Amino acid sequence: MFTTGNHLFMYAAIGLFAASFLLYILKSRAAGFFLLAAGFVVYSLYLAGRGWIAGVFLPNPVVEGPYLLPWALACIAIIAAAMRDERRGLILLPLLIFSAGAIFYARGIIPPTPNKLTPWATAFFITEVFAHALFYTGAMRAALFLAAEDSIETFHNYLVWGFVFYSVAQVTGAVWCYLGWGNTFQWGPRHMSSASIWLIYAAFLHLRFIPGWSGRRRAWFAVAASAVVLGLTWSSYLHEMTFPRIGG
Amino acid sequence: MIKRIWDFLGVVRLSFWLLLAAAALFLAGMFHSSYDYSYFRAMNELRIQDWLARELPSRPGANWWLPPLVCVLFLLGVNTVICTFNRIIALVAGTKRSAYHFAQSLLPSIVHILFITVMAGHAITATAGSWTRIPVSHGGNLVIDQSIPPLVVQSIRDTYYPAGSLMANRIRQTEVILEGEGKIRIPLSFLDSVSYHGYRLQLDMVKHKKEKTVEAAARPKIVDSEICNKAETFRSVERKREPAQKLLILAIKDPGLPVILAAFALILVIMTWYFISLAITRNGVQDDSTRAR
Repeated sequence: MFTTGNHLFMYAAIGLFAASFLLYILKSRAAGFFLLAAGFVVYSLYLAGRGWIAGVFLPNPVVEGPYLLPWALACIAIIAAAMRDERRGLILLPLLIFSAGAIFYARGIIPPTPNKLTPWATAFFITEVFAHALFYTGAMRAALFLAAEDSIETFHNYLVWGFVFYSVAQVTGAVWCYLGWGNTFQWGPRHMSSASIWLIYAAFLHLRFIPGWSGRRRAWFAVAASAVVLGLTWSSYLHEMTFPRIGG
Repeated sequence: MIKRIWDFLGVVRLSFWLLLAAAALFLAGMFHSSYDYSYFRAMNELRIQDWLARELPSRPGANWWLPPLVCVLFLLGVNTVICTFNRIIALVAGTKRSAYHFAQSLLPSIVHILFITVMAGHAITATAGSWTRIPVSHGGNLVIDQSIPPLVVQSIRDTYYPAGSLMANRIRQTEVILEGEGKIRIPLSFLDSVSYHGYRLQLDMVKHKKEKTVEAAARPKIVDSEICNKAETFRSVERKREPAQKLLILAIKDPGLPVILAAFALILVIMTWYFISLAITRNGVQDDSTRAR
């Protein structure tokens, strides 16, 4: 695999994302989209290469949160462009922020134990990271709504789909946990933080039906919820940086 | 009086605050379990009532969040039942609509019923499940339960990653062959459990010590083209010495599992169907309005 361990591919992809954002600001949308798509392809190659870092293909490093998150955000930006979302270029802002996170993250991989090598684990990480990406995008759109620059429906829809993905992640995660550890739920920090996030967004979805919760208050709630997601997931990612790693 | 209680428990505002309260209590539990991981790990293999009876009096400072969490989740269950019941009654008594739209409007209520089912499944698991860990060694006897015939460990075989890769000398898979009554062979490997006399048997491991970080430079250099084009050769060897990971067999009885998994699967299908059908309906409405203009 020519991208194995070659982090230049990641830097190149992030450069393309940055250039795409610049073109979006300069109102050159077609060129911006082209660079975004190119960045997405290069980043996909980098992720595939991460799978080969150990010299034998492992799916787990491909779907490691800090590295998969920019890819998921790029994917969302492309889908938004396909759906002719006028403000799609702004999705590049969280994409660039989390790309910076990937640049400074630990390069090596955590050697997976046998009970982590299942398609359920891969499905769990993909759906969970996509949910995070949708939560961050939803929060950004909520901030735009607060600035009277976006509609309430837009951020609500992002968060609804984030919740759907997060629910799928809870199911795939429960199956994986049962196969690997014998419980669908464990009384540990990872599971309890996931339960918290799920409950917070479930609470958000109920706000629509409560009189007195205006669009602005709901938008503030969405922003605050994404701060909780950010704090919980990145404290976990930073903790995982201390784990023994190989290949970097 | 009953009506007042019913009305109080059946409002969405209460659902919202209960959801937030449960989230806050889970966060409190998360912080405690982060600082005391092995202490709370034991909770995964005990019935919740046994845990509370044993640990709450001895360490209330670490477990304070658990009783209110159980209460909040119970109240959330009651609240969900009442809200769902009220909503279905309102839908049935409401204005006439097509069968499709009526079915579509029922979907959120069905998801809520399934959510209660998942919670009930977890409650069954937490209060009636059993988990027994038995260390595995070659030739050893596994007594899961005195009422069922013991199993004998016939062999333990580890498969390692290919030599030359950074994962060399690490176990990729372990296969344990057990011998049951009537000389039946029961193969068991990670992520592949088997059923035996009402128990689910699966392999588990406990790490003894932290592995040292292996520097890439200290490992043999890997040429990309070789890795891509050559078949991976996994070495399979009989276990002679105990590696850093201690092997165990986990014997599980989890009466809540089928309930949880069935309800989870249905929630996913229905929720996805609901949001997609809603998006299609909205787009349809939008298209119609565009055409009208």
